[in-house]
Amino acid sequence: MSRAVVEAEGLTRVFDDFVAVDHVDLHVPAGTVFGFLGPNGAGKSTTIKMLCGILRPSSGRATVGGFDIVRETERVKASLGYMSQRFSLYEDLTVEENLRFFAGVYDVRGARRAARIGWALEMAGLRGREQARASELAGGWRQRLALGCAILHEPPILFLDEPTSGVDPASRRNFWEMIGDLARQGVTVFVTTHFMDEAEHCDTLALIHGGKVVASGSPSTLKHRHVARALLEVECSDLMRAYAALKPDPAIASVALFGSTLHVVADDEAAARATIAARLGACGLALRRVERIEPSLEDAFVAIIEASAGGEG
Amino acid sequence: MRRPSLRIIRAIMRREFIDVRRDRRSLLLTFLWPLSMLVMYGYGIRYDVDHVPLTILDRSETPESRSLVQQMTRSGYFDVVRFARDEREVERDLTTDAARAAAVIPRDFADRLRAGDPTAVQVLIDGSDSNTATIAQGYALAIVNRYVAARGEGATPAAPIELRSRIWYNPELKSVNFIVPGVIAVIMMIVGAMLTALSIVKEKERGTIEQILVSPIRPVEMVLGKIVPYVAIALLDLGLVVTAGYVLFAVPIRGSLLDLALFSVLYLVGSLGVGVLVSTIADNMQTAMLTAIFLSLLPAVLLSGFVFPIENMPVAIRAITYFFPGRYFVTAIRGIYLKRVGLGVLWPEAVFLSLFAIGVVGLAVSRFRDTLD
Repeated sequence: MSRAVVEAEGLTRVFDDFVAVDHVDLHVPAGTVFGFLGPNGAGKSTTIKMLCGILRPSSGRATVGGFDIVRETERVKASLGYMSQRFSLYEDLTVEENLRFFAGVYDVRGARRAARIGWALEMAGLRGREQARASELAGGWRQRLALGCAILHEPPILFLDEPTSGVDPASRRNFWEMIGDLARQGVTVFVTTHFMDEAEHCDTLALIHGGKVVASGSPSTLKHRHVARALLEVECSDLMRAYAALKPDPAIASVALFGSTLHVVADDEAAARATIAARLGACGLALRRVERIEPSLEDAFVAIIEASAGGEG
Repeated sequence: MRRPSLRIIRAIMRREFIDVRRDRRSLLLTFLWPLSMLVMYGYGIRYDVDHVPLTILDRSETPESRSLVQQMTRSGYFDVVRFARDEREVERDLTTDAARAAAVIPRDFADRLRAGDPTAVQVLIDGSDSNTATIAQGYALAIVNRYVAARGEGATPAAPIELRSRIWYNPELKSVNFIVPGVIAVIMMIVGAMLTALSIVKEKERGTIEQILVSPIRPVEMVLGKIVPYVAIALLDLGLVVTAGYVLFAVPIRGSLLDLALFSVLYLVGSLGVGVLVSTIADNMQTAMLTAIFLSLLPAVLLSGFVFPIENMPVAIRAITYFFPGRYFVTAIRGIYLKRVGLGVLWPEAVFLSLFAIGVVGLAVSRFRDTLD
């Protein structure tokens, strides 16, 4: 196993009486894409800000690139690139002026500066639009320009906080291809998201819920941990009533709404099938289809979060 | 710890200049606003009293009384608005503000003068504006005395000692000469504190501050990068206001421009520090604006001696003025402008301004955290 680039132990942050991040342990190997998943308010951004050295942890410790985030903040900052969902560009500045500004801030100079700015323009697809104001750019271009600014100084570690929010699907796909390229070049990417399809692109995932890491592993590990149980896709009339009818049954581990179907998790597939038919029939609902399917990441996370919530209650 | 990098400071400065140039609002605030302040204060605040509207009730109607009236009008201090026929008209003019003063010459004025008997001219003055009233009273007294002296007759016993006063530094007692230097103090403070505070808080509002914080920029680099452009801009403003003061109000500088620049830079660094300090407190532009006004504009106007003489303040307020740089700067700049004095006389002011600047910038750097906490 390769050297860990981001390492956290018991990282905790308390705001007044609210625990935003609760004893988080992290281990991110070099050159991998690490996905930090969780609903809004779960503590993703707070964790990233602590790792970037702009929020002090209340307790616990962490190193980034081998430097302590509290004692060696300046060296931590010099070795990372950071881009947040706000794409913090200077809107009154042109594309080129933004790039030049960040080149100055990160002390990228001389021939390297010209090369890096050229590279960023190419990568962002903004060749020929150097003189456009950042405020005039559409979401996808702003996002790629912000990424270009964040990695102009070729940091070995890249933190991306919800990098694809407010960006169209085509740009999102394009963006993830760039993330993959960077990782292949050896950059360690730490990315937060709440899109499950994006999580599939990551080498390792950690799921954060209520400030705690409730599960971690590769996408396939997380799915397989779940495969021990059967996942049934149920198609029927009146999903809400069906959900209410199935929820309390002891033969069923969990039920969740998935688009126009219900996903039912059970230990015993045959017993579950019988229960579903009986329960829905009793309510007078038409059962159209019951089928065993391969679990998706989303199924895995629904189960994990329910399990952790049940454990607490 | 790494040494502050000139390249980083330069990058921040360059961006700041572009920002000021592009942002129409800050351009207005930077250049149009100081000029309009100068024009408003220059034309608006006047301690000079002249052309006081005057009603005359001449009961004497003799060559002697007409000669006195003529002297009053010729002085330029009074404009005769009416020759009243009776006291009712006099009273009406004063109550309706048609006149601010009235002179009543008694029926026996000429007879008594010729006989060498004492006589009196009654001058009624509207006291609702006490400042103008006192000054107008002085003018009236002087004119009557001169009239009596010119006649060479002792209508009142001749005073054994004649008082000859002479005004120094501002011989015409033009209040504009006094106000323009004060306006400079106010403008420097506002441009300094307001522009810097707004420029940093704008980064907080737009979220760009986060991108700055995750970069290796150190607080001292950030503060210097933000302050230096506004020193340059404020010095440009200084030139603009000094020139406009000269062109519009014929206010010359008697002292040296170098002294003026030196004191302005000292004062500016302090006011820019106040701006950075404000930005560490305020999270949005409105709060920043209000805090900057409270911490910079009000003291600069009220506690500097610009509008109200410090000597006339209650002891407690006078004590407070020592903690604001305004009083030192106003003293210095008026000295340079009107008295042709330099560092030789003004060094205590220079010391206080430097102390204030160092203290405030130090405080600003220490409060300007490199975290979001």
